[in-house]
Amino acid sequence: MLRLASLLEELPPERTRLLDNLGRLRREVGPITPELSDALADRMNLRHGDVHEVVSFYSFLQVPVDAVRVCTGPVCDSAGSRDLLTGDAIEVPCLGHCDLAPVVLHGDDVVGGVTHSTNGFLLAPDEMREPAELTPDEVLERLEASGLTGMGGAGFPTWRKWDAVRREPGPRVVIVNADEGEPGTIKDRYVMELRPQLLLEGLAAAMRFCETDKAYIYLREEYGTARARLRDAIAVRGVDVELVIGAGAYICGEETALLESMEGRRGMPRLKPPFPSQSGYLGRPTLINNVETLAHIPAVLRSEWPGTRLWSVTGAVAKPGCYEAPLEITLRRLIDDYAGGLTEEPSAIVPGGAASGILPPSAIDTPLTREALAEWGCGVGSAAVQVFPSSYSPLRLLAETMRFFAEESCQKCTPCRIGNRALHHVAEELEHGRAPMARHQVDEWLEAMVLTSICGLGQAAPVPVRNAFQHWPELFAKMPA
Amino acid sequence: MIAFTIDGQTATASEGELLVHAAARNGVFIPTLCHDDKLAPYGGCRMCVVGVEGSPRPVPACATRVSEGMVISTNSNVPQLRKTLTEMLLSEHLNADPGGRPNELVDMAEEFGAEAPFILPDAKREPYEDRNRLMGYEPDTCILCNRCVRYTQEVMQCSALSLEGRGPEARIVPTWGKSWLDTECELCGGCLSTCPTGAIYEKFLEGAGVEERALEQTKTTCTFCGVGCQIDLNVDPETKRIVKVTSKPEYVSNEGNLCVKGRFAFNFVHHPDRLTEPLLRGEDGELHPTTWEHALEVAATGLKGVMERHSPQAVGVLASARLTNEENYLIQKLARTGLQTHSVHSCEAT
Repeated sequence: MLRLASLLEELPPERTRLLDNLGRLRREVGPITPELSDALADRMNLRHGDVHEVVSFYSFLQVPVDAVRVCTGPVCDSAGSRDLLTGDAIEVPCLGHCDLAPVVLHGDDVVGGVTHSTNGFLLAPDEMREPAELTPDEVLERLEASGLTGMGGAGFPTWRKWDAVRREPGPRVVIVNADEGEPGTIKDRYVMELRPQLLLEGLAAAMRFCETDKAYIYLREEYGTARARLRDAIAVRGVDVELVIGAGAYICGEETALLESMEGRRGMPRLKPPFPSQSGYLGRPTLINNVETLAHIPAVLRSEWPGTRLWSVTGAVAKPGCYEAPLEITLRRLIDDYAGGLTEEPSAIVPGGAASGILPPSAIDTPLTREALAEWGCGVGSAAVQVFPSSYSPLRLLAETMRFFAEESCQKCTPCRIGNRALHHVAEELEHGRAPMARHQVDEWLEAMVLTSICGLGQAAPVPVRNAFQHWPELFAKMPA
Repeated sequence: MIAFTIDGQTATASEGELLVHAAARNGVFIPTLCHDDKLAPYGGCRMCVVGVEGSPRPVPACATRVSEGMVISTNSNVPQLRKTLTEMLLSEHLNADPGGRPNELVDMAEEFGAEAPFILPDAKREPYEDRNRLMGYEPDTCILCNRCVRYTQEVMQCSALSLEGRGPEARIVPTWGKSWLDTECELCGGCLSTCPTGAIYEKFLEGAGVEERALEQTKTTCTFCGVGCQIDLNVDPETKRIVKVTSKPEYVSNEGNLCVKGRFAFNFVHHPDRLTEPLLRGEDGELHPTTWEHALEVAATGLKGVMERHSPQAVGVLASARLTNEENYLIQKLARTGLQTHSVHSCEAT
């Protein structure tokens, strides 16, 4: 108790430190109990309920730091990870180490160790360099000329985002979105583990552009190795970059949910407008960029960017890993030329993370571009290609995907909160030969999710369902029209 | 003034006016569930979405300010979206009426012809029992609109309710699942008053079988203190007894908010010990009914006698905490000019 009392004294009382304080309490005292939560609330002059809401929102604050966590994301599930759920092990959604599937974390450590299978700039020496000396106008010109878009999933033109923030008065804030959570996506982790200085160089360019000398990296809790590498790299570089560590919540990768989380509240998306570029962290104009996007910035500003991106390739391939390859590469080339080829006949291929959709094996010669994938009803998303073996049926994949969205829904809006649970239920029932809902009604629910969900989670969740209808109509034969 | 168009009709709104209000003033009713004018716009239930020209998605009318030239439609796909969203909410709405309070979700279901296609397998929430004797809570009636929680945070500034968890297990519950009596809750019943489905309800046995809408309302002023909150006494038409107290947002001085006494402590009205007429103690030592004129005359005569025998300073006036400012002014006027004493006090001063 003495230890707790003195620790509480040390903890800063600002609400923006709430998540950090909870993380420290969890590491140094133990899982957050109602008593610990109330004690921290008293220390920080917050209401007990405010801290209760935050503690219960995240997956890991009430779990011991040395817990054994078994990933049951689709790739790990298809690799049989549920058989590893023994003893006190807890089941968690995608842990972002899909190249090592099936993945088990013991505390911060990946059981079996972290290895990398990669190529290109990720293998270059991680030297500390300064970004190119350019005026803000030159920066915007080069960003626009390059055609660089955000690599986190939404694919928004990077120059537009930078330009929007620059148009708002200072002080501005720069945040790196390192809350990589889209199932199958491992690329940001590769960047942080292998090229942290490259990321910090891109960040330095963004900070210079925004005329700020303070930045934040919001990093998911499950990335222990990346956390250590980033800490070292920040110290070596000697910049004022603060690491904010999450606590297990996919939705915090949504940029306004990320801001809420950083401000010490539940990570529930804000209504837009205003956009973060207008009113972001603590109401300031805020530039939020994905890790990989910033890692491309140094090359873009030197006019040396080759028009490549990082593809996470996992599942039934010989060399699962993260590969730098051209933007317009086909699935077949990516799998054969980079990931060592298929290990077995696939049943389905996800081109860009859970929300990007599901492709049938016949789509293997499709270029992974926005336009080409749109013809299959899919998107590029976060470029996380997941190959599912024939033993893993498309319906199982669909059910697991919807279960993931249902469990990660923040609960703010009706269509996401209930729609995903219902679609998970429908997929599970279809596996048992039952159809609890008519097709036209499913279509109405999907439409309501797309049109009325607050954020990308609920808006994009219908994509895999619609793909399944389109590409595997026989699976839904039992469903009344 | 801002000019805009709604369903083909031109209309005007004031600067910064919420779309839901501007539409209502122009005769277009937009349904809402999670919206309460006392609270910051939340935009969670999505029931109020409307089409806005140039916007890729419909926008929530409860959280959108009307802008110049805005072209709004509630016709095209909006009715279908309302119906679908209602179906969704119904698919986990296991108990539509735990305590006789109005249920706006059920009203919408009737209006839109919405039915749940099935009940979600994880719809059942952990039951909640609270040992307090005033308010009950049925989690299976809750639609997670978060109005009650936001009311405690934004209006009462207290920690009584939390939106707990994420995903299918999320629920609204008194902080850390404790009894309301063990939180900062003052049992004001504000959460109950803002709940659109009646998930939080009065626990009273009397009138429990009668729907709130079947009760007869009489508007009056709460007698418990000088604030003068406007309240509605809700009377059971059969028994003619008050069975609950409510208030409305448009009532001045309290805007529909009440305290624990105003909302829940009305039982004195029907109490057998309540004084309902003046009583005078007779020669026999017992109290006997009399008229106001006679009672006041006896009191005045007694006071005058004390003043004559012992001087006016022997009389003191103690005012009730229930009096208004104006009534307190009249009391001191009576004390100083009528009774000619400076010994006047209100128990609110201590």
